[in-house]
This record gives sequence, structure tokens and C-alpha cells, in this order.
Amino acid sequence: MSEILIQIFALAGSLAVLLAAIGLARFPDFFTRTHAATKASAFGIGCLLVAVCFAFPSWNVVAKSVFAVIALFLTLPVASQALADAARNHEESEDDDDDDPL
Amino acid sequence: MIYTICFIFLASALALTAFRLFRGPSAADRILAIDLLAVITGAAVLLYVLVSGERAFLDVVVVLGVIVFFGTVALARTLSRHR
Repeated sequence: MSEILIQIFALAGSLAVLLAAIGLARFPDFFTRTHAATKASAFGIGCLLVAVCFAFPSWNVVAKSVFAVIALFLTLPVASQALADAARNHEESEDDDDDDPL
Repeated sequence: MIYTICFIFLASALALTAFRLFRGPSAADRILAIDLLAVITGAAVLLYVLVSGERAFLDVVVVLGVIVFFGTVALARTLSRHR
């Protein structure tokens, strides 16, 4: 029973990471690419950590996995937000001679 | 068997991300691709933990996530300074 759960979560996690990479490769715009790459990959890592928790049910492993999930779910959106902000500033400064849209 | 399929998924994800890393029209695309490369590496490490039973490699995922966070934020700061 537990083995089946581990395999399902591992498969779902790697499939989500693959979907993130497909989105990164195929979406047409930088901002849509951040949308694909950040959220799907965070979900995939979360699924894989759940699989690890089911595989080794000890306090040591579960505490480390919870810490990893917290660290990743706090840092991935912050990094993507900073990157999108920088890209928008960069874009705006590149076409400064255009008319102001506001 | 299942884990082989998972590793094949991660390998194709690595190939697609490397495509975006080399191709990327802007510098921000490349930085995002480096970020996703680190996430795929973390996923591969977790799969290795599942296959081999080496629990010590869980620390690798935590440290990798934090280091990549600092790297991405530093590169984004550099990108927004460099006009």
C-alpha cells in the first residue's frame, strides 16, 4: 500500500517538473514562462518530498522534508517575483522613447 | 521500473531547460532556466534518495534551494541595475 503511494507521488512529482520544463520551453513570453516554471516546479518538489516522507517514516526525515518544503515554498516565489520585477524594469528602460502608456 | 520513468521525465526536463538556457532571447529567460535547472537537480536528488535509501542526501535539497534563491535574487538585482 505504502509502496504504491510512494510510486504515485514520485511519478506525479517528476511529471509536474517535466510540465514546468515544457512550459518554460514553449511559452511565448517571459512572464508566462515564470508562471509555468515556478509554480509547477514547486508542486513537483512538494510531491517528491511527500514520497520521501512515505518511504522513510521517521521524525528525522519528516522534519527535514517539512523544512525543505517551507524553504522552497518561501524562496521560489520570492525569487521569481524579484526576477519578474527586474525584467519589467529592464523592458521599460529599453523602450523609454515610446509614448508613456499611462 | 517506475523510477526509471521518473528519471526519464527529469532527463527530458533537463534537455528542455537547457534548450531555453542556450536559446533564451533575454537574460531574464536564462536566469529563470538556471533556477529551474537547480529545481530539477533537487528532484533528481530526491529520486536518488528514494531509490538508494541514502537519507543524508535530504540535506542537499535544502541547501540547494537556499543557495539557488540567493543566486537568483543576486542575478535579478544585477539585471535591474544594468540598464
